[in-house]
Amino acid sequence: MKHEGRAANLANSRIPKMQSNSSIDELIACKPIRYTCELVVVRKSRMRVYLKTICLPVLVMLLLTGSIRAEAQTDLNETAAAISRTIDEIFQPSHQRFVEATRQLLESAEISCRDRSAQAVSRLRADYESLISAFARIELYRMGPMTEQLRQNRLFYWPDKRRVGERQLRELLSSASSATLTEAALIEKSVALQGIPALERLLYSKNATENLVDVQTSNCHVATIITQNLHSMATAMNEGWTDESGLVSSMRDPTGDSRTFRNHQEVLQRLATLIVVGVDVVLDKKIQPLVGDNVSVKNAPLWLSEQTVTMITENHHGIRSLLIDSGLATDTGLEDELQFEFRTVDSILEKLASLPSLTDEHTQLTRQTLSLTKALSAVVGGIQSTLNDRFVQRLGISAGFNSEDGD
Amino acid sequence: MERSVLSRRSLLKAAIYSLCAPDTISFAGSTVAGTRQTEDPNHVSATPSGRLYISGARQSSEEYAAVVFDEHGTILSSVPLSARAHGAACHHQTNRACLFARRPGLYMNTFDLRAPQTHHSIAPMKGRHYYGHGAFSSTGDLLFATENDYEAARGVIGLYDATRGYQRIGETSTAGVGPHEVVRVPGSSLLVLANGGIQTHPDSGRDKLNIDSMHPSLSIIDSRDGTLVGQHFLSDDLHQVSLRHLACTGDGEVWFAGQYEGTDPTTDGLAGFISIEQSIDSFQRGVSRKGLTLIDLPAGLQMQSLRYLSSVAVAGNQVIYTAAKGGLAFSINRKTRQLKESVSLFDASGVAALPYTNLSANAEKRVPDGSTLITTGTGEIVRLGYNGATRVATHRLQWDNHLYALF
Repeated sequence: MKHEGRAANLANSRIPKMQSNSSIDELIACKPIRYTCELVVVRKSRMRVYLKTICLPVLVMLLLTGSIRAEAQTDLNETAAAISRTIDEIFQPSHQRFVEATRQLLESAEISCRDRSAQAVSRLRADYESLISAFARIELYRMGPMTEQLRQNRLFYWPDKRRVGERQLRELLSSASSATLTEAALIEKSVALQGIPALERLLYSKNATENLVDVQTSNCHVATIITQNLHSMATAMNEGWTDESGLVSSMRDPTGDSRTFRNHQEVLQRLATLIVVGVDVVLDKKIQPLVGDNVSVKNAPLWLSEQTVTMITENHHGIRSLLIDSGLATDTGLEDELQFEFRTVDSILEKLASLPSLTDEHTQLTRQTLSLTKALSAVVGGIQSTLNDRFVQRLGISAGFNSEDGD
Repeated sequence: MERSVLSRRSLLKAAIYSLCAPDTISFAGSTVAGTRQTEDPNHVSATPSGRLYISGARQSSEEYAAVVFDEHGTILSSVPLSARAHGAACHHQTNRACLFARRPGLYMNTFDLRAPQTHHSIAPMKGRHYYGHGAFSSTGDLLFATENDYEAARGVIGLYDATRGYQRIGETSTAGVGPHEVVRVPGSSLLVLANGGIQTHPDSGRDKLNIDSMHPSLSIIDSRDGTLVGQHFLSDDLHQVSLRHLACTGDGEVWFAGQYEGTDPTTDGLAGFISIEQSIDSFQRGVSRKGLTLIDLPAGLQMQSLRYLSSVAVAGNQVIYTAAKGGLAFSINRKTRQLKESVSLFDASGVAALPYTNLSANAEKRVPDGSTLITTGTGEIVRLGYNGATRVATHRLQWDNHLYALF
């Protein structure tokens, strides 16, 4: 029942300048209150009454207050530790990995444009696949640097049901200015042109290799500029997560006058929302389009580069890190249950990854693929229910609701 | 006169409050357990206090409700709903209220605030679905609901007779596609509609079918005969700003909130207002956009909002916007048309202010501090006043997009 006490304590933390009681943070910070019982000369019976009606309850209250305060302090320390662990062991290394992946990809793109060989293009594709793995790990960490400067859309404009990116890329490549495109010019253009989907099309669409090695086309140059843009965004995001004076400081030591986080509960709420919304995104947008009759692989993310399973797997690992490695699941008493469900997801994803292809020769999903995506949907649906109905409740919070799917 | 109004208000509040006297609340034979349980650490009111508010909410992954609470955030009643709700319409004099399902909405839930247990769920007529918003006529006898004639891809206002069990008695065109919010101009029979411009069809769920060619508009319609008396379209470069939410002032302005659907990272045009008088005049003379004013929001704020404004409310000379995706709320000074203040508020969406009828021309000085409440998807109720944002209460539920003041 530890989590319930913690939930109550967290629920009681509040924004300073509020109209009533002090927050737990403030209570802990303040000095213990000293109670004194003045000795007075009274008759024995009155003394007994006095002891029974006043001193004893005060003593009991003192003991309880001390106990509650100690527990609140412990819980707060645990929450602060979990938040710091999330920053140090999850956000920072994963963003560092993303920077490295974009750096490597940029190097390969530059080599590819210089060498103009099929071998260099193969190397570029291999580095692109590493980039997908690194990006998918952080894709659902939609807070702080990811939400600034429209980076979420600029990195990965998807789903693009209207094929805006495809159309705009075709127009760009057919224009004379594409050969002299700069990163500064790119960031003024459509978000659908600035990130991974456009790069995927340049690397994997029909005749991609021929176009990339052909010096007469601007495909390789545009791919390099997009890669530069990816690297710039990755670098800025990594700086956001390593700068101890900004977001990170506010998460570790939230204060009442902060515009970001005013107390630990708000940080916890944001992390829980990343987890809950992250599972919603993976299930509703990435897995469900691959379940049912008459589904098309083209509804899946990164189907052209056949990185769909990699992306879902890394999304899943990113969520698991946030939920389990951070210690949040342990605090809610749901770790064993969630671990079991996540292992089941792992197992299904491994089977999907081991398939030679998700589709047959007619680009239809195979029966085996459909069977596995259906199972995946059921298990992730179970995780979704656990998170929505019990995880957030045991943390004593409500996760965000409107930020992902408004109207 | 004032005394009788106060007396009526008190009686209504008592009627609503009486429904939640026990710890379980009964409505139409069903019970909602624990809806009185509040996580508000600061205030647990024994009696309803001050103004009352209504909002849709999600209580667990599959449980939705219409919730009434007082200005201290104490939940007074909770009516279970069959699916996620969106906006509401309220008529103060007749005690009529209606909550609309989120698009593609398949119910509107009407109830008498004096006896909410008699609430009724009304399905849309064949070939129509609700769009999530509506408004009452000045007498409260008619209800206007925004609807989709989805086979013809045109917006309509469904007309319902509230005195005869909300029987549908007709409809009129909104002169646009994808109507979203409708408001009635105070003291008149004029309706202002935000035609979001986005075509949807129930067969495609919530998919947006015409983003490339969308053409949003604001229509002014005389509800007595359905005549279009004014209409504004944004300029072509802003055709992907979906105009969605509205708020009336007491002196003939209607402010709007937009959501950008395109890929250009520099587009603005999210916020502004129309003058009813000038708009009708310009429409009669065939002049486009005279009477429509766009607010030049700071570029940083637009970026931070992710160019998605969730709701808008008017409180005296302040116009308050929420931006759930960007996690902020901000206010515009109506006189200077400049940004006055912005606060970081995760998942902020619902916003309600004192009804225009209570405001005078010199309202800013007379509106009491804390006249605006904001609800968040994380269960928070926040008061926005001249002293900044103050948390009023936090509940273990998720407030839906919109919030309305009842009395």
